[in-house]
Amino acid sequence: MQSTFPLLSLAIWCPIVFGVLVLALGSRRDPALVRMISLIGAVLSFLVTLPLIQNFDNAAHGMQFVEKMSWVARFNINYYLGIDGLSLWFIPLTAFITVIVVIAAWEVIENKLAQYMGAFLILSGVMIGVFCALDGMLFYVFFEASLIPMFIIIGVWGGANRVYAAVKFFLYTFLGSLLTLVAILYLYFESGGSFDILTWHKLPLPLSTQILIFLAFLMAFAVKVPMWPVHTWLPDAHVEAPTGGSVVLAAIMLKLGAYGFLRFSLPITPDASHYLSGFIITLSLIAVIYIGLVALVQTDMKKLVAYSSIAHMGFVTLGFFVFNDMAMQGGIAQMISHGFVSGAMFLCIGVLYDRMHSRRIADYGGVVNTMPKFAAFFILFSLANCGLPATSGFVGEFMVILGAVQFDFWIGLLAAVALILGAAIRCGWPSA
Amino acid sequence: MIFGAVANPQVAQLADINKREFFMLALLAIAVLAMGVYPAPFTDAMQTSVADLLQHVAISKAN
Repeated sequence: MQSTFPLLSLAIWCPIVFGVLVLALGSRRDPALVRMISLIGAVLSFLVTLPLIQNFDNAAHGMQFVEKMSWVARFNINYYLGIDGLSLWFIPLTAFITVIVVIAAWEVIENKLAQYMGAFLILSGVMIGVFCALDGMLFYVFFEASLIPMFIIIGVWGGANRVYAAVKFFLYTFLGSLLTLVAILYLYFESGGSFDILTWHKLPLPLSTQILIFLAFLMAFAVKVPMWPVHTWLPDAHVEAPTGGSVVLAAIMLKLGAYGFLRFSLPITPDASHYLSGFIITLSLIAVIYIGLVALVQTDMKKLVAYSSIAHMGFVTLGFFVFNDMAMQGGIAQMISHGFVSGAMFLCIGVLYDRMHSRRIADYGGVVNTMPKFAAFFILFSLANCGLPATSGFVGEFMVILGAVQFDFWIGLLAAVALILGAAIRCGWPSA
Repeated sequence: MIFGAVANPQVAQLADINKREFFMLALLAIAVLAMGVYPAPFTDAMQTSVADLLQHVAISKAN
């Protein structure tokens, strides 16, 4: 389906243009104007993503809203965009979270406000680009470009140990994606000079080659998700990042890795995916159960939510690699839900931190007495995080567990046990 | 965690969330509840693509 109006380009470039505009305004030092322009930019960027949902054809196969232009003709690199049901919801989600982040920063950020807002707006456009790209090189450019604003956000507006956290974040994610570049270049030559991801989907490859490509992609995506045992950068990054940075990191950036599995690993190397599915399922279950337990013993609130994010993303990768409709849909639903819920959890922590300048769980005792409205929201999001029915958290986890039981009863049971752990964390079992 | 007796004097002096904070948390609360109560728009959109992907993955590309 060729769309007449470039909706996807608009969704990508609208926040970036506003981000650059805000950066350009920065030198005038008028915070009220900067805030207003940032908010207008974020809301407008969200509104332009709504026609995508409106006009999306649920029954259609293949890509929709396709845009294709030559970019670097010499290497056959195209500006090639399109979305399907796997990526559709992440575009409005990204724009929505950016609106929230701008509102959250309103009075809180006083240092270099324009640069802060600009970084988040640009980051929003770049991440939407990752979800839309159908050209391998374009994907890689967006994927890597998303590191830069986040690196700056953690490194400039972070806590006391921000430089360590920013460098660790950057090195982990960057080293992983270098191997992906090798895989992308290999596929380029193997397919006779094409960076078209959809062409790669159809490219026949022997199993041994598929395994190598799968592992190369895994290096980038596993770090980003993050999967056990390459998750250690995430708690550090979350603890040091400013509230907005934590929100975007948890809500959107982790999804870039999981989305990579759907767009690259599974369709390009299906035989290797089946061959190594036991390995991925094992890593996912370790994340769900072991990291769930690690979350239980945290005394730092941000670390607790960071570890519980890793456990939740374990559900996502579990859902992808049991190969049935229910579990895979559950995995994607879990990604969307986790975007809302983890974002909300980090906002709640931000609200408390702004007032108390402490992240220690023990210091928060009795907050319900003095902040009843806040407590109501906090409890709602906590329950959503452990998958209470009628909240978004339930949908994904339920579908993944259902799909996992279909695949293998014991895997399903282990995943279900982890839900109880999650509930225990939220009820404050360790610190009560 | 946030329940129980007031843990320290700092907690006793906390001010509840202002309108801006209420608004941003309310937006997310609406999203969380909407998706929980009526997830069909989310799952309907992905159904065809997930089925296509699984069908594609089931066919061997090694030869």
